[in-house]
Parts: sequence; C-alpha cells; structure tokens
Amino acid sequence: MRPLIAHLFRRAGFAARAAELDHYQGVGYETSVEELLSDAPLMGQQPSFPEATESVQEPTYNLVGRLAPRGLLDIQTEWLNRMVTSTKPLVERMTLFLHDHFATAYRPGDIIDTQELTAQNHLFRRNALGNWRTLCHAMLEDVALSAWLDNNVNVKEHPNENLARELMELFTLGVGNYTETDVREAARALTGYQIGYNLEPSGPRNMMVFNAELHDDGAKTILGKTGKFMPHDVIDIVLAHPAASRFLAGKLIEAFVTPAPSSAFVDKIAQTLVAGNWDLVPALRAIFTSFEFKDPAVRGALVKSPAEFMTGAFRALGRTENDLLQAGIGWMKHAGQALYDPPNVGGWPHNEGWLGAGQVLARYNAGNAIADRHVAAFVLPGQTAIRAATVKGWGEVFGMTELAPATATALQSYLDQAKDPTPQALEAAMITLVIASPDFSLA
Amino acid sequence: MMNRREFLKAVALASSAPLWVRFSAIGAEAAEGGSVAIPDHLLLVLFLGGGNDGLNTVVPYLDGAYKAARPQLALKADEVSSIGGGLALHKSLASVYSMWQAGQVAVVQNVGYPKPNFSHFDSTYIWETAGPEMQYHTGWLGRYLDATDGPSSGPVRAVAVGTAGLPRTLIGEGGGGVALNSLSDFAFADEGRPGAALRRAAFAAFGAGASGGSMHAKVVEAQSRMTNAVSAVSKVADDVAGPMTPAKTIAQMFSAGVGTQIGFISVGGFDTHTTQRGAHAAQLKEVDQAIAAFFDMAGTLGIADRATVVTFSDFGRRVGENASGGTDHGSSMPVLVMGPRVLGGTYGAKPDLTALVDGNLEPAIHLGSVYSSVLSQAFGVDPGPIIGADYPLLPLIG
Repeated sequence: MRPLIAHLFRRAGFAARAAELDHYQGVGYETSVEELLSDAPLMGQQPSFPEATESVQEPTYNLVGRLAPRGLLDIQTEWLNRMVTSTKPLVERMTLFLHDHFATAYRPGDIIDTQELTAQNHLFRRNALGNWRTLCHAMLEDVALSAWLDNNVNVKEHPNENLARELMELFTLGVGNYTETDVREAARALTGYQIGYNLEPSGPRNMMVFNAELHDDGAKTILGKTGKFMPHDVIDIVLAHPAASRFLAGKLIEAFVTPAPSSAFVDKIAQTLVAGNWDLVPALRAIFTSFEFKDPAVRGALVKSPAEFMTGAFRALGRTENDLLQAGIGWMKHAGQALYDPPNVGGWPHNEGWLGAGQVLARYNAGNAIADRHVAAFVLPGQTAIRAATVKGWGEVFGMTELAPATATALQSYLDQAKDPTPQALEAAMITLVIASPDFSLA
Repeated sequence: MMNRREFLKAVALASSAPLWVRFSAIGAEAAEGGSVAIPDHLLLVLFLGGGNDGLNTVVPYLDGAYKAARPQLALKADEVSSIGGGLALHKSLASVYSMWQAGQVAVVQNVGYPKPNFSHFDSTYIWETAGPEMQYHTGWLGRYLDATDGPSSGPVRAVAVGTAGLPRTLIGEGGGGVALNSLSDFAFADEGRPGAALRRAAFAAFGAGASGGSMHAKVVEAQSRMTNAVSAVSKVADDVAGPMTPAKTIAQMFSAGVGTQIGFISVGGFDTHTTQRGAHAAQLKEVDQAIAAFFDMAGTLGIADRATVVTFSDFGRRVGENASGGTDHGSSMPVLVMGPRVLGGTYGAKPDLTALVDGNLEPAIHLGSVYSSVLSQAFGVDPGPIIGADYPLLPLIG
C-alpha cells in the first residue's frame, strides 16, 4: 500500500511527503485517488505550505497609469511557487501537462508577453480537472496561442494554416488522421479573429475579437462534413473524429503511466473520455485506478521533467524562498525546461530527452544548492527541520518508499564513512545525494 | 576524479548490488586520463543569430538591381573587399578576406530551402534540423553523432560554448553534446569541498549493477556520461590560463583528447530591422574576430590544419531595404565554409535580384547540399541517412 501511494503521488502530485504518506496509507488507495481528483485541498497538509492565492489576472493599470510589465522570470517563479505550495497538486500537474500540450512560448516582440502567458496559465488551471471540449473551445479565444500559431492574422483573403494544422496534428488527432485538404478547409473556417484591446482595466490588455468581415463564410468540407462552418465548429468536428479520444488518452497515459501503453489500455481510457462527454476527471480516475497504473513494473518508468524534479525537491523540504525558487528556474533551464518557453509547439521531449550531460549535471547541482540552503535555514528560529536519520527515512522525505538496491547501498556506505565536520554538513550531503540519485529523477 | 567505469573496476564487484562498499578503497585520486586521439577533422559551427543580411555580407556591389533596392544600405566599392565576379566581402570581414586570399574560404551562394519560412524560430529550427518540413526534432549534427557514436568516441564529442543551452544542431537521441558557459562552469558545484570525493564515489556507486534497457539504467548511463564529461572538461580547464572567449574555448576542447569533434558558438544581433548599417558592420566584425581567434588558438595548439568553420543564420534578409534604414526577414543566404582544408572559391550562381518572389531571393542551393558535403568530405560518412535525402555534393573540402 505505502509504495503504491508513493507511486500515485510521484505521478499525480509531485511526490508525497512523509506525513502525507502516513495519512494516505491510513485512508486507503481509492480514497487517496478521489482526494487528488477533488476540488478540496489535500489533507495531511503541512501548515508551513500555505495555499497559493487563486489570484486572477494581475492589474495592468493603477491610478497613475500602466504598471511596469512583469518579466519572464517573475511569472516562471510565480508558477513554480504554486506548484511547490499547492494543496491541489494534481491541478498543478495537469496545468503543466496542458502547457506542454498546447506548448506556447514567450515571444514578447510578437504579442506573447507575460500577461498573455499568465492568462493562458490561468485558463489551463481552471480547466485542469474540467472538460476537454470546453478547454479546446476556449483555446480558440486564447491570445497567446492565437498569436503563437498566427490565427490572429488568419483572414479570408489570406488564410493561414498554422493553427488548423497544429490543432489536428498536435492538439486533437495526430498525424495520419486528416488530409492537407482538411487543414486548408479548417483554416478557412478558423478565419476572422483579431486581437483587440480589452477595455476591462483589471484584465489582460488583449483579447480575441471575432470580426465577421474577415471570416470566410463560404462552405467548407472538413473531415467529411460540409457546411458554412464557423471557428468553433472546427472544434466540434475534430472532437467527433474517432481518433480524438484515443489521441488524448494516449497523451495522458504517456504522461502518467508509461511511455509505451498497450492499445487496449488506450482504448479503455478513450472510451471513458467519450462516455464522460470529455470530462477529464473520470478518465484520470480510470487511469489511476487501473491495473496498468498499479503494475509495479511501471514504477520508475518515466523520467521526471525538470519542473517535476524541482517542484518535488522544494516540496519535500518545504523551501519556498523566492530567491531560491528563482534559482530553481535557472536550474530547470539548464536541465532543459524553461517554463513558458518550450522548444516548439510540440512541447518538450520527454524521458530520454531530459538526459543530456549538461541537463543531468544541472540536477546534481540543483540538489546541492537546495541542500546547502535547507540545512542553513533550519538552524534559524522558527524553521522546522525536515530531516531523517536513516537512508530509508531520507528516501521517504523525498516521496520514495523503495530505493534501488545500488542507491540504498551507496547512501548507506556514505553515511557510514562520511567525515563531514557537522551534522548539518552530513545532512546536506545526504540531501544532495538523494536528489542526485537516479531514483529521484524517475517518476 | 573518478568515473563510473573506473569505480566499478576499483571495487571489483562480486555481485551486482553489494550491501556496502568501502569508498576509501578507491581513493580520491583521479584515475588514468583515458585520452582519445584528436579527431582528424574538427568542425566549428558559427551561428549568426537574428537573420544575417547575406547581401551585405557577400555583396553584389556592382549589381544595378542591388543599388536600386537599397538606396541607403547598398555598400560601395570602398566599403567592401572584392572577391571577383562582381562580388565582395563586407569590410568588417578582414580576417575572412585574408583567408579568402589564401584560398581557404568557400562562399556558397543563395543557400536555403523550398517555401521559405520567415519566423525566426521556425526557420532556425529548419536550418538546425535540416528539415524543411520540420520533420526532425534532432539536429543535423546530433544525428551525425548518433550515427557514429562508439566506445572510443571520447566523453565530449560536441560542445557549445556561450549558448543558452545545447543548440538543436547538436541535439541527437544520444547524449554526445554538452553546453557550457565556460570551462569552469561545467563542474560539480561542490567540487573541492571537504568530502567531495566521497560524495562523488557515492554518486558513481548509484550505477553499480545497472543493466538492461530500463529507464533506471538509462538515467544511470546518462549520469555516468555526465561524470566523464565533467572530468574531461575539468582537465581542459586545468590546462587553460586566464579567461577564454567561446571560440578559443572550442579550440581548447578540440585539442584536449576528449573526443571533441564539433563546436558551436553564436554571435547575435543580426535582426536588423532598423538602422542596419552600423549595427551590421559591428556584428560582422565580431564574427570576424571570433573566426580569427579560433584559428589563432587552433594554430597555437597545432590543430588548425584539421579545422573547418561553417556559418549559418536564421534566414537571409529581404532584398529591398525598409523605411527604417533596415531590412526585414528574407529567405536564402550565403554560407561561408573556411579553413585550411577548404577548397576556396564561390559556389553557385550570383543571386538574381531581378527574379524575386515576394521581394525575396529564390533559393538556389539546398541547405542539405551544404550539410551533406560537409558530412561527406570532413567526416567521411554517407550523408544520405543523416540528412534524409541525397542532395548533390559541392566540392567544398579537400
């Protein structure tokens, strides 16, 4: 039970802390899944991790005028802080999934600035455990994605196929399920959006505005259906395609279970999506309660993304200092993942894609820096010392109930032979090594 | 410093997962160097970030259409160094011009790909992956590394210095490329601290007994590769005195016996939409200085005769200047290939400035031809499987 709970939280909640392992072992596996899927904050909460405020768009004007725009590092750090402190970790994990899925990058010279990305991030968070169809419709009105894929310049006279193509290829269907003609026709249906100023002063500065003058109102044929389709019709048409549910199911399984799922498992989750009219919670429930998820063979079968890795380390140690989180953003970048700056619209390469030499070195050095800060901080008044006395205990601090034999041997041998001058130095070494272990890089 | 292989040797493991290991038995001393032969041919890729104005780099300065398209920006005879055939190099490229005179510069004209993409990101992606349909996620040299990786390749086959992370050009399925800001940065942050050797021994011991194709084994393998690369770079850093520019750092890595065959550096600032004249001259000068510094250092280290430099950019720029004294995003560009083994001269026809497509040059030589020629002539491999098609080769390198 305890290893299974730990597995669930590594995949769905940035790894459980020891107190959470105790708590959820008590309530049982199925209840643990339900709590992760619910709107309520998790139980077993450490009081030192306050819930991030559910703030909406930051104000852009005050009485004096436009406020200075925030920079990329500001919004990256804000999101990392949310992941680290969230009492609804699956919401943040799904928000990360959606960012990787609708991968949109910071391009301040091309409209996609911090406000647009923050708005998109909130959109993902609001729909993280919501409905896939609703989210796909909302993405058509998302300024950042529209600018990223040129739908803001997709007009009747000059159709631009960028969004139409990626919508089918990367967001809903996958290659091989549509033709070039479908792309061209869908692009026509998607015409007519412009970026307009938002007159709501506390809202984001830009919003998508539909201008019928710029829309191609002729008949189109998309995936075998013909009509004078409007932009939102495209979403309903692609989601009606039989490949759509299998496509999303496969993506969710690859993110949460295994890089090589069986066809039968994908079908099962796809059917759950269809039966639930695209609600995500029943599909996630079906995933987390499946035989395939509980199979011990899939434990450690995924490489944590740098975001999961950093969040897990900060969460485990309860470290939320802003400068440390900012440094974490830097290590994540060296480890290959700058939030809000994916390499392309296809998102980040997963698993083996995180294992370049510089990337792996960044993980070690991040662990070392967090360890040093942690042991320095917990000698301060009011700081709770999160620590352990044994190798097994250190593993559990980081959400790992079972370490690989070689990892346990190496850590035990270090503990026995270390000549670190102080207990803090020894603890810093253990934290560094646990974070640097292959086990902690795996989910 | 010790790597995983040396560690495994030192402890002579009897079983795959011992219950305890004595790290002191290994000692903190570095094991033997394990140096590999310097590769026969060394390639430095130089990226001109932002979209270099090819027409003001290799300049058709006598062409009436060129002067007409650029009332403000056209360079005159005294602002260029003629290379014959109505072409000239920007005066900022003084060192490149010296190499040209020595027959060591190939100017490949009007290089691009069909259906030019004018997005910085997309077009750079296409150039880095050699995938005009964006069909690859790996770089063209990353795929070369994948295709040729072997047990004697050395720990650091490709290195990018001063770039933000590993450039896509060098990214493959394997882990052969590393990115560093400087030699001293590519190190364990706790190096030199009391107990670092024991930490490193424990880190190496994480890999004991790992085998098979599990994800755990892949992480262990990556950590072992990383340790070897850090060890290799630290040895180079120990031998280098004073601060090094990225170009000189690459030369140091090439000569270090760690298997480095490919280097990557970049010079930015080429997105000259406004007031291009002075800015472009300054950026080209920086490029020229980097090339000179590289060959200078390579000469000092005795490896210059093995070295070739090749340039690329996001895209070329629009033929006609804009109303802001700059140029907008364009299509094809000249590619410069430089070095002692290069067969100097111009390749391909001078771009026809009277036959434009939406104000842009029609690319004449596919980037795949340039890359295939380099792979074939410098590295002696069959470029077809790496580039994805058989492009005509140009005799660039002898």
